[in-house]
Amino acid sequence: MHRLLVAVVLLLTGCSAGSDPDTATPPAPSVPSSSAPAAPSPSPTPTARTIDVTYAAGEISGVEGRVEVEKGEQLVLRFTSDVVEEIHVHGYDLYADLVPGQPAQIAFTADLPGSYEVELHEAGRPLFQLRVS
Amino acid sequence: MIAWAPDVVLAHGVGSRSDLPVPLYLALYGAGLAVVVSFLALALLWRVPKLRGDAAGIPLPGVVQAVIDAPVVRWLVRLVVLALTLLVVAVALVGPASPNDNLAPYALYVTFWVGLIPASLLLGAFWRYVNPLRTLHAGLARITGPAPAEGRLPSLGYWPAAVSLLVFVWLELVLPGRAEPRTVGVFLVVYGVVQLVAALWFGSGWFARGDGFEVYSTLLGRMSPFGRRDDGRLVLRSPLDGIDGVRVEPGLVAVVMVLIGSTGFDGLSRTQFWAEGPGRDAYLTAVPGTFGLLVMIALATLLFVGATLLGGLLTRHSPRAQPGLFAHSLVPIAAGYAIAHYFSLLLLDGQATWILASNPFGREGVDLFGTYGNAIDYTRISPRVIANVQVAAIVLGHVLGVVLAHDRAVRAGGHRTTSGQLPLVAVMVGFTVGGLSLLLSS
Repeated sequence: MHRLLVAVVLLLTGCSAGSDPDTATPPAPSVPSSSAPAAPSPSPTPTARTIDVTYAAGEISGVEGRVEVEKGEQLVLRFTSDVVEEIHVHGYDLYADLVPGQPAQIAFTADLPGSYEVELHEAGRPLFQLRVS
Repeated sequence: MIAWAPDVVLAHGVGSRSDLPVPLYLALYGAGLAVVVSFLALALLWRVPKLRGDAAGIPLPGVVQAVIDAPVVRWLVRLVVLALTLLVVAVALVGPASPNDNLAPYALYVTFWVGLIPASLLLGAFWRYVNPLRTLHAGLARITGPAPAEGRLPSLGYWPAAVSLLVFVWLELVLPGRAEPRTVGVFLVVYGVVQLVAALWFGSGWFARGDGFEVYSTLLGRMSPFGRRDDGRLVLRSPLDGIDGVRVEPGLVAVVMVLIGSTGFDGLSRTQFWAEGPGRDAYLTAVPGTFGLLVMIALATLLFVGATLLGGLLTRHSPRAQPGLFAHSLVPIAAGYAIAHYFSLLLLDGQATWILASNPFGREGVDLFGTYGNAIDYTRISPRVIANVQVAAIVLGHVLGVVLAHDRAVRAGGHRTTSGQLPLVAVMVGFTVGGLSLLLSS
């Protein structure tokens, strides 16, 4: 009887797993990470989404916790800081140097799904979560 | 420097990436399934105990047993694992200083800590077989002679393992700077020394009670189709029989509570509530994380112990014995939680161990396996697959837990055995729903 019960449950959970088309993802070879310009890039395409973040007097403004984007969306992250720092986007492995008074920009395509931390690299302080779905 | 940089840690030791929240429909489906199955189980499952614990199983072919139990094979495997462990420690202490370039944090927090799960679920008490600490101890004991306090070992139960696991999960989930290679190296050395000293004092039986990693692997290994019967034969058996055979000893509840509570805290630390609320300074100080970890463990303990005590009152059994009697039923739930929270880490960020293994000490021009310089492929598994595995793992763990608790309840017999199970089943549903909601809000 307990074997039957376990089999029924496995079947039901299996149905849920089998119902989506994405389950058979072909193995992807290791891809080199995209290199990001640390300096301001040429003007972004009209469809790019811009996110402005300011770091002043130890406070973060311009974002609330997480930023949700669609997979494949073009993003432009713009940062202004009153201290020397470095922006780091995890996963995508993008960096930008921050100099007080000089805005820095990272432009890229959000093609990796998941939730990635964008942080101030020197302080190790998280700025926001970039959620790509 | 490698072209990917998981420098600052996310909640779970190392890693650049967290999972997306599971889709709501999937979580509701899972929760609903868990509830329905729980009540079906109570109503329909057997009235006499069916599980036979360590007496169960079909013997594996004699040649398999002969190979696995052959001292030559055992020692070869142990020496290989010892060599790899020493290599990881060496890389941690004298390898590249940056977490980006050092395989040790990945090897510890991902390849080992998470990898223990599938290895033990498939192979049984895998770490007990290969434990490098046992290998080292075997060598040292030859010099130091018999252990003075061997007789006192049984009274310790699993408490030392609970403490050892608590220390490790605190390191893995709380300490800022936990991804620093030197921190990892120091931890491994100190842990090894403490364990070896204890084993020299209490004998080699210490590891089965005091080495958190071995106890974790042995508990998970109980869910493997392969096990050792009480007459010593290696057998093929139902995971339910395997877990049913867990020996009830003092501290077993503590071990399971640390496992469940710590995975619960891992889930909590990925929520918006935590990142913007109590945990906003967690990147700087260990205080909020320590508090959060202890609260989650305490919460799990309160719920489980409360439910089993209530069950004991209903069935007119000694309440004090109840938590220990039912602790085994939480093992699949703990395993389900752990799989849900960590399996994508193993498959994605875990690639880092193999990438960095091509140049463990960061020397110029070294690329042993041709992988050095590769980036982690984060597209290897899709979010959909991840979400489905997460929910399935939690629900399956729940179902196994309910079945195990049921069998134990009918074995214990007594007054009102059916309604006596309700408190524990309710708490299990609570754990499952709680676990699923943490996945929803990551």
